[in-house]
Amino acid sequence: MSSLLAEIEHAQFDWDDFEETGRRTRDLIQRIAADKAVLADMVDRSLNDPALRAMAEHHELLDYLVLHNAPDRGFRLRLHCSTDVHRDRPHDHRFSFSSVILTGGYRHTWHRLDTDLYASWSEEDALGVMDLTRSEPAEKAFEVIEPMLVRDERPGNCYSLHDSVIHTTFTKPDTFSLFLRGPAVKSRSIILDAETRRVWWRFGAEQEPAERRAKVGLGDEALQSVQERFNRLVLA
Amino acid sequence: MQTTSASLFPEVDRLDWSDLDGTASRCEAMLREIAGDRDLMTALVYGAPADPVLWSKCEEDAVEDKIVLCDDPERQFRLRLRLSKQYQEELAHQHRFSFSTLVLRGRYLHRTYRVSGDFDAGTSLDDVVPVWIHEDGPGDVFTIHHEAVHSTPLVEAGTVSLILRGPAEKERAPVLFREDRASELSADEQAEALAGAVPGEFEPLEASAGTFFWRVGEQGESATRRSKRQMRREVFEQWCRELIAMGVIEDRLS
Repeated sequence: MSSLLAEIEHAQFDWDDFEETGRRTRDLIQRIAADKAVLADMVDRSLNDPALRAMAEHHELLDYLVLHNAPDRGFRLRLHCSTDVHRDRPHDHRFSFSSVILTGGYRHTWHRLDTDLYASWSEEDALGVMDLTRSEPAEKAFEVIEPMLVRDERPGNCYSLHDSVIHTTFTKPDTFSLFLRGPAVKSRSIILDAETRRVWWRFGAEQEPAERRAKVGLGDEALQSVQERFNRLVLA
Repeated sequence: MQTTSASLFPEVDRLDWSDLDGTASRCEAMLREIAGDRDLMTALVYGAPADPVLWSKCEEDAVEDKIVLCDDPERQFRLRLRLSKQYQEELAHQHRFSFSTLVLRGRYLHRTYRVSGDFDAGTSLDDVVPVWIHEDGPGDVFTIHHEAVHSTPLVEAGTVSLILRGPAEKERAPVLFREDRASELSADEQAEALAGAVPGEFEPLEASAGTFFWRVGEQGESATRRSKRQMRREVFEQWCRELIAMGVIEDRLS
């Protein structure tokens, strides 16, 4: 086993210290990004390990593989891959994370929202709106969302983002990135559509109904497609 | 040859900084085009001391200098170089204006903060928490709203950015030291260097983490302070030598 893989097997992160853990995780994922043998090995393992394979997900804007899962050591490493759908869709996360861009890129926007949606939506209400189709143009939504910082992320760019930030990653085609997340610090996260002013919510897998779990699972064909694109775009 | 602001980007009309997203795209294209054109950069840099208005805006400050290359208030932009001359501490701050920047040389950590309550003299260190930490390097461009609170400590002397800023949106902008700053100057030397400064409205040469001050524009500064901050010709020429070595401009010093 390479020394980098061995390091990943033992790495431990405390996300209460965002500054220091951000620095350490950015350092780690940039070294992984620079080592194509390790990347290829991790993707192979992700597809051949039943537990990791079952954690792969498909979403409208993004597919991901889980490369390493270490909840007891404070992190999960994923490979993100853009789909053919590219949209400006502000969201936050249930966890803080660090990411490095491998190919493609995205317009990255940090937003200011005028409304505390966590205060105006109860968890019970949010549980009923887990996807766009169930979202109503609601009186519960927000008035103003505005960009505070805009930048183009390009291959090699690397950053850490706190769970409280509402941001957009408006992808270009064929965007791959490494994404190292910490433990969930809240039960739900926001997604919104700035144009239609609809809000919907994401929950952890354990709170999602079976119907939704089945929908977000990545089938064999889709997994092979991600691997083929990874081989062609990232490893080549 | 002098390049006037009107000859820069004649196709660009007034930049609308209230539309940050749209302006970000236009500014990014403008910054990359200017930085990629050595003849234009050469004309702009050597043109600065030849233009009394631009030259009066070229400044030396505690940890960095600026050379103003173009000022077009009608079209709502001003182009300048930000040039770091010594290690910079982490200072969480807002700007008086929204702006775009392109890193030409050097690397630094760009932090964006969440601030509890208003950001003013009553703000303490615990009120300002980093929520986005980005590794910025050569070729990176970002555009930021004047109400965003961030820091871009240029920790390597000789780090250079090209900045396209909009009009001032407020008279002064808040700044909070998040780490200590030491100075080799004695108290008397510091007082002499800061002559004419308004209390609470200048960047201290020495400070402890948690120190707060306001940054003001040139209209908010006394004549004594302005003359202290005016870039000296020898400092301009030193920066020219750095820019020549970087390949950003041609050597027209001799």
